[in-house]
Amino acid sequence: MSAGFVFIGGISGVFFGMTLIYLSIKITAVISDRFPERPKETLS
Amino acid sequence: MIGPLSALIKTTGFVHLTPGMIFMWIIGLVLIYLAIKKEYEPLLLLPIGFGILLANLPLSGLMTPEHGLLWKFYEYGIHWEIIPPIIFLGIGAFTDFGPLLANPRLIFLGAGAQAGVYVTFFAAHAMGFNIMEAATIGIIGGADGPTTIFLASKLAPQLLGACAVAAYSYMAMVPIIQPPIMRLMTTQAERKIRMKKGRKISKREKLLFPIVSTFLIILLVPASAPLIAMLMLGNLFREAGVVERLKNAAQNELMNIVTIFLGLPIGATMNAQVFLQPKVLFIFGLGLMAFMVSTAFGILLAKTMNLFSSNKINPLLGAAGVSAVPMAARVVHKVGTEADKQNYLLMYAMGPNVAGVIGTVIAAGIFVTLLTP
Repeated sequence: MSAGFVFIGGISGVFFGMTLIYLSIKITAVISDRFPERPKETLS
Repeated sequence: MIGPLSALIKTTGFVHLTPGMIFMWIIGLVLIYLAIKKEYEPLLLLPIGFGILLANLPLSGLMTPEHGLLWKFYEYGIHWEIIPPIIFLGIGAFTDFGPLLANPRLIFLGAGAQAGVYVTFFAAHAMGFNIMEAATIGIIGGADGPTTIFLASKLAPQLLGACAVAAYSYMAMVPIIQPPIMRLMTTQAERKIRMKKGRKISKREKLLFPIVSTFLIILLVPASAPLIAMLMLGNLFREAGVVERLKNAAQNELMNIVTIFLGLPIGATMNAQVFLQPKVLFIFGLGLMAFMVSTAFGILLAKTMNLFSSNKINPLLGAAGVSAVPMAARVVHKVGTEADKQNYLLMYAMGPNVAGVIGTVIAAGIFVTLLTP
């Protein structure tokens, strides 16, 4: 494995991984906004 | 009479002392001094310093393979990859991903700061370190002690002590290393940029994040599984709200116990024969370079992102992309308030700061994937 390949593969891998997490956060946010949590019912 | 006396003297350690051992005592004592007097990462530097003293006491046998007490701590705790993941369980239980979820684009600053890891990796390899050693030295730039130890134990155990001490020393020196770079790379006007408040995060999002990100990261980089799985499990303990005892145990008792068993054997790997080599000086030099390059690239990425967005990011936040949690975020806040006393950046800086932890784990996982057969 050449150092150049590790260098390029590493940096792009980190950014790709972070992009996946970014997208998952955005998708979760959209779903959460569309289906907001209902407040817990309280006994009166 | 003289014969038995001479034999008796030979059984003591005094006659086996070497100048190298005595020099290592000085290094151990300096670390203990820095831990106690200067409070530089005392939880780690104190046991590491004491471990160095022990490793350089002749005939103690503490690091004798199979039998030595500290060898057992090292072998079953670090080499078996048990202690660094348990530390990550505690870090996860401590970490609030809320600031990151509220401003998800800040996650890229945690990625940008990993550039220092790869630039240093490349530089170390060019200087003659083999590719495994170069990766281990590069990961110091992630400013994440447990990840550095995890990677070193897998790729270059002979550098474990030097890399761990370099990582923890520089983490303690973040308030000294980062501010000059931050001031050099930003204008006064940029440092005054005020961040817009992020969206409100629901409990459900905080619960989903550790689960979803565990799946994504492990599917992408399976070699990062031990660290990321424990980090996110700890975070799930924190956010679930129903396992307070487990969360508290991960944050306190467990974390404290494994910290003892982490520092001592790391110090014990640093005997004079292994440590007193010119390449150790290069490791410290390259480690410092890694920290500086990571800081610079984080800031540069923030400035680049500002070119494409009307919602400006304070570029100081890029410096928090190195993991060193929460020290790097505090430094960002401090430098920010120097420019504008009313500009509270700490909460925003925690976003890239925790993203940096994830980024460093991914970087380490990629090294393991690419460099181990």
